[in-house]
Amino acid sequence: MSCSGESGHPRYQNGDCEDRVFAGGELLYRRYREEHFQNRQLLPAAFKFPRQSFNREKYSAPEDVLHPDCCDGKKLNFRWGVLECSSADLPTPVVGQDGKVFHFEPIHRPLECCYAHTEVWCKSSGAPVDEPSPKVKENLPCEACPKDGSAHSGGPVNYPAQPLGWLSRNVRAGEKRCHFRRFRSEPESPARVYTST
Amino acid sequence: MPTAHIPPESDPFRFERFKPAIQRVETPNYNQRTGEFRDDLLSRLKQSVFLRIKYGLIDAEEELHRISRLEPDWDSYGAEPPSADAIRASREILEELAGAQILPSAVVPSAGGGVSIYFMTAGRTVYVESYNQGSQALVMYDQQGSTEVLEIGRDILRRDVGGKILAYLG
Repeated sequence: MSCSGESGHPRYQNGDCEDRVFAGGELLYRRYREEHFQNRQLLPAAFKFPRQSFNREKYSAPEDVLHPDCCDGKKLNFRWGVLECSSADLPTPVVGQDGKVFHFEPIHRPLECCYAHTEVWCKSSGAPVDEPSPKVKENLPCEACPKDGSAHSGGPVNYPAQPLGWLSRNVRAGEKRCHFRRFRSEPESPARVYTST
Repeated sequence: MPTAHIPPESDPFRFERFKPAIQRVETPNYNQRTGEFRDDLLSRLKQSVFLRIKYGLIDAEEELHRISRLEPDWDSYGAEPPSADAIRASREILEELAGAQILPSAVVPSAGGGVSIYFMTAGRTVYVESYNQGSQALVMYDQQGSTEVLEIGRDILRRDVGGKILAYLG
């Protein structure tokens, strides 16, 4: 894929190696289709288990995730939003129903036209987990969520969850850790609004 | 000199004038007419529920039709489009739930490959996930973080899904 070369384009790789260090609290950005935002929550259907793509804050502005250079050259043709989450809040480890332990970590995977590209990997016993059973896949977020309602208060981040739950639940609860950035603003939208260009 | 004709104080407005009309309402047909009116109202109410479900199902199936035409990479992160099996399974679930007068809040493609049918109230969400591989799951969660996942066909029979949704969402 050839990069656009447009002015203001996202940072290109230009031969740079990956940067394995994620500073505490570095944000991760991900785009979502507006249809996945319903009833003031981001639906779990917006996430793919496990290797979810993000852009890391250190090398990207939030709106870069909407740029064709970060979308394999694709121009997005309808309404999208951008979600931001802190990499420090990655829920790890997570203990599944069968006692299996899962770890989540951001892995910087730069692309030629999108240096900030990052994936959140799920690992178990050091090996990436790509195809868990539906039960594990859907249940992990739940195993993780706080049972004491602290998700609503924006209290200390100390609960496990897999990214699916980590993202959608935090957003649903309106916590500080995840915010929406939407093309079409709504009064209750807790974050800034970006316009599609 | 003629004197003014003043009605008696007990009936200054001469309500007797309306007596024939009032009596007409109180005829023996009154109860019958009331009954007919009630039956008509109930019939219209039933029809309204029927139509609401009918049109809701049409809307959901239109949404499903739109989803079935998605192309690969529809989410720009490489998601697969829902398979024909996932679409068919979702349609069947929708029809079954419509039969139990349950309409979805949203029908969306799933980035993991498949179709998700959501049912939401203020604090609780249920969704039926139909995977491209053919399996289905019923997932229920609330804002407190408690979640239950049931594999349809293994943990719960499909015919019991509607009841479970209703029980969970109240």
